[in-house]
Amino acid sequence: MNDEELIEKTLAGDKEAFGLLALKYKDRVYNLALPIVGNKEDALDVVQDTFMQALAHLENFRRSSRFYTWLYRIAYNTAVGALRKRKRKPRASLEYLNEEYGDCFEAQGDAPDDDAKRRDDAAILRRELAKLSEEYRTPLILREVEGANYEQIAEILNVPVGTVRSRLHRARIALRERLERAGLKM
Amino acid sequence: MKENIWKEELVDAYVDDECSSHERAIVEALLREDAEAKNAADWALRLRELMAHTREETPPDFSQRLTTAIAESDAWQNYGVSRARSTTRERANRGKWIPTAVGATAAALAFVAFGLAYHSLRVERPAPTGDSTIAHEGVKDAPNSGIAYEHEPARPSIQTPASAGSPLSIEERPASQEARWATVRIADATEHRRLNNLIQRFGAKFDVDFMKFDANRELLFQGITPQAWRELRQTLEASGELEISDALQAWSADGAESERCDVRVTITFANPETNE
Repeated sequence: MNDEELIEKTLAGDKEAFGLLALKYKDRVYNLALPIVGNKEDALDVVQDTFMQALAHLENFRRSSRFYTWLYRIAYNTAVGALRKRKRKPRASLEYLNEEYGDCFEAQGDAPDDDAKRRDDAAILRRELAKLSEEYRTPLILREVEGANYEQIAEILNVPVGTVRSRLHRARIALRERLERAGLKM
Repeated sequence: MKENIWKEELVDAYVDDECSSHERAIVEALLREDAEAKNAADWALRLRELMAHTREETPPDFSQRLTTAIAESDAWQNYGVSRARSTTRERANRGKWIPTAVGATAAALAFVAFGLAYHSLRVERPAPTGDSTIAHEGVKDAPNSGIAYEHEPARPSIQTPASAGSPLSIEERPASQEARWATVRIADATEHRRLNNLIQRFGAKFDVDFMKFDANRELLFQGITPQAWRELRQTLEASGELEISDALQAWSADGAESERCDVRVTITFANPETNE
């Protein structure tokens, strides 16, 4: 069953239909929210709030755009709103980074096996990605993790496509500089 | 300086497959001549590969929390009552269109006969159009969802109204729907994670819906086109040994682009001990 059919069933009062939509997109919303709010618990709250809002406003969803584009927009606004509410700067929570990656921040000394190296690289990448400004980080995540195209990113962030293009470019430059300083060999 | 930034942006857009044909020609010429541009493109691709590994999943118990919150939401007050009533009316009217259609046709014929008779009496009036309205058939039966939850056994976790019907698990789907299948044998869990990320991107790029079962080892791609399948096939072949059914092979080779179908993909591990 596609999104359109699930939405129609939801509007007809079918709770399971919306549950299926939520299960389909929950991880994607989570990956968008996590770098913004900086910790897993808050990100899970954002995911839940996002679907509650989507459910409450489903009748307003215009079929001219994709459901997940509309959903991501809600998720992005919810995450940014959650951050503002807590009056935190959009930086990584060190608590989160330490909890998740512990002593993996530093690359291994001796030549590691492939898996360990990949884990180390991913840890360094997450840390440096979290330090990027929100303006650069979110388009990069939407593009590289969620596979959104420029038009979809523009719709989610409510900016022109040209702005998406230039922000992605600047995000990559900024991230490259950070990764090279952090010793990540690409 | 400005021109350099523009060219660099163009290289990024090329890597993202977001260039016009004219821009693509510019970048391809640049990549042949300019080592720095080539380096930037390689780096962007390497970053993409690395970022694919940053993808995370919500914890297993979160699904229950989310679906419970959804089921208990106050928003259902706006959807359940008025819409359910009209759905009930539609279902009550289902099948009643035949006598209505017959009656309408008879009325139309009578009207045409009257019109011809009237005309033969040479009364100067415009001929009737003779249009009639046939009642439409009722709403189709709600399709079976055929969906099982990702982290739960193949049964719905939310109680559904009786009118919604019972979803089929993937095992219960009619055999004809499972004729188009593929199995890919991959090395280990790391490759599985990488493949999952690639499949997510494939789904977004081609706007293909797919469902995941059994810890992402059974995938059901819904309404996929032959072209999208060929793209997916390349991804699967790059990940491991691929076996596909005869029906899938035939459809892929001969099917028209408008002929969409469901494809089931099973992922197995070369070393069973590395299964998650």
